[in-house]
Amino acid sequence: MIEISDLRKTYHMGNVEVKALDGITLDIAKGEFLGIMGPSGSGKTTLLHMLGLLDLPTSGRIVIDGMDISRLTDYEKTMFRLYKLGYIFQDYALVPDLTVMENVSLPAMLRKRELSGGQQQRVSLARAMVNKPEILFADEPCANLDSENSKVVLELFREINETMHQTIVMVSHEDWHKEYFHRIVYLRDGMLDLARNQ
Amino acid sequence: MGKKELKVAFLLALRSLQRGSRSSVILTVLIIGMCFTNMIFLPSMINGIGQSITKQIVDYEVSNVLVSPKSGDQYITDIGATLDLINGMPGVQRASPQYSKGATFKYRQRVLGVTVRAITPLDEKEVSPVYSKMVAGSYLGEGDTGEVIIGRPIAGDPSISQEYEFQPSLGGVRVGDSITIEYSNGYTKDYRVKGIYATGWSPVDSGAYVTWADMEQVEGKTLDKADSITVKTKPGYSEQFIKNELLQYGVGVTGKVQTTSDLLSKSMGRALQSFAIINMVSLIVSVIITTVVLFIVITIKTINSRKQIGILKAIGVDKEVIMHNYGFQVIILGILGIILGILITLALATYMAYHPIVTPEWSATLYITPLDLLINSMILFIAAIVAGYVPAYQVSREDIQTAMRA
Repeated sequence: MIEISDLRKTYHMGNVEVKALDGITLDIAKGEFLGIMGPSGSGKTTLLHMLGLLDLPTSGRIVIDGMDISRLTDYEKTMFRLYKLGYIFQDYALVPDLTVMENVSLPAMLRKRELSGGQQQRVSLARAMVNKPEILFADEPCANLDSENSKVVLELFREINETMHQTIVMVSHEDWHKEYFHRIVYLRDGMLDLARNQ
Repeated sequence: MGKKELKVAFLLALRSLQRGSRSSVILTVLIIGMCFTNMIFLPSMINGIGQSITKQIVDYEVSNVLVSPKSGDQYITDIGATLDLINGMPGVQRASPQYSKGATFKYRQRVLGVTVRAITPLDEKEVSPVYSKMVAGSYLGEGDTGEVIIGRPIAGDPSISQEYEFQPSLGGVRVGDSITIEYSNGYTKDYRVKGIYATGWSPVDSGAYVTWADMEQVEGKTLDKADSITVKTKPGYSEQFIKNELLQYGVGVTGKVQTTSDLLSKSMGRALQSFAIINMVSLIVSVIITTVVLFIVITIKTINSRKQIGILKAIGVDKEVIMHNYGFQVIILGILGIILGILITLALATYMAYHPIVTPEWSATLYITPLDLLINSMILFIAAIVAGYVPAYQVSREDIQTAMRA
């Protein structure tokens, strides 16, 4: 996914030359959760800035998703950041003039393609969760989604339920959703289906 | 740059103005509003003075068409036949002759040189509004003899002593008083002051009127000549049409025929040209001030927002969007400022319509046309866009790291 070869970054502070990165070579695989650790001034942030296309290396090569980023124009780098990368800053770096929602949705507003059903349902979930409700109700949230997107949304429900102990009441008619529920209540003709509920 | 990007740029601009410093927005709008007022005020006042002078010249000097002696001649002759001819033409409301003679006015110890104009009151009332400007007494009647109407500055104010007078006067003549008029030909006669008028047009207010019949006594013969004939057109007839008609009927043989526009282009041409130069200088100075002020305002705004600009670029917002964000801000501020400026200008124009600045020579109101407002709005709008986009362009091209460290 990311190939870094002999990456160097040198800063000049007056006559003093500071080598922030001195020949980093590293590969990062797709799906990998990589931690970069080290003492202060060891070049962690500088490396992340290079990978995030926020700064230019002095020498070396970074290839992301098969694309040599040194060959990208300024505009292409911006679009690459918009479409391929997400960045969380040390100091939050929120835009103070924008609301929470606008801060979140700004990159999405600029993307050319429309949101998929799964993405829309995740936005809907985010909206429902933003005020940390006591109970979350969901009426067939996967009705318009394919099985892959349905799974993503259901996993999200599970994560919210487990990490935040969120009470969730969800309507579904898909048998394979059962594995996500702690308990199931069946209805029939406007009444509880006692036979099945047992 | 697509619709979506412009929408985001507009949203960023709107949020920046809504959530940024309220006082900064108000101050900027106020500055643009005052710049607009500054741009339009002086030229409008100068135009107002020009209009006021033009109206007074038309009202009190030339009316719509003026027949004057041909070059080399002192008078228009055969005045009776000429007047009959002109008054009989279609489109002519009335023609009024005038005959002027220098005279010395004497009242108590005061002696004053005054030009006396002889008129036929009924004709004159149709071409000049002097009759409606009487401040005391009444206007001349057709058959009046031994009676004179004089301008207020000639009558003078008894409460002001001679040494403090703005212009020499007879020191406080009132209606009914008798003054002695000694004409340049030596003819002397006592006249009763029938009325005092004040038109605001200095050449008329510094003179006096007697009837045609009276002047015939002064000349000692039937007066069949005139200095000028002023012609008033009927509504719907153009001055040029009447001029052509007069020339066609041969009035051009006895006198020179000129429309108001002909005369104004000569007499006022230079003055108007000077006014136009002053207006242009005033406009250029105002536009420069506005551009510089807006440039400073937007530059400060962008400098204060450098970190935010860095963040936006870092999350993938294109520099064009960032530039248009500031562009939209300046467009919104510009539109609000222009609206404020128009409101201030219209308020001033309304106030000055009721309280004009009055001097002995002219009275100034603001003469503003919708076209003036439109042109000045457009100029200010363009200046605002230039002033806003230049710093926005510069800051949007700044390196992300430099911007974020600010």
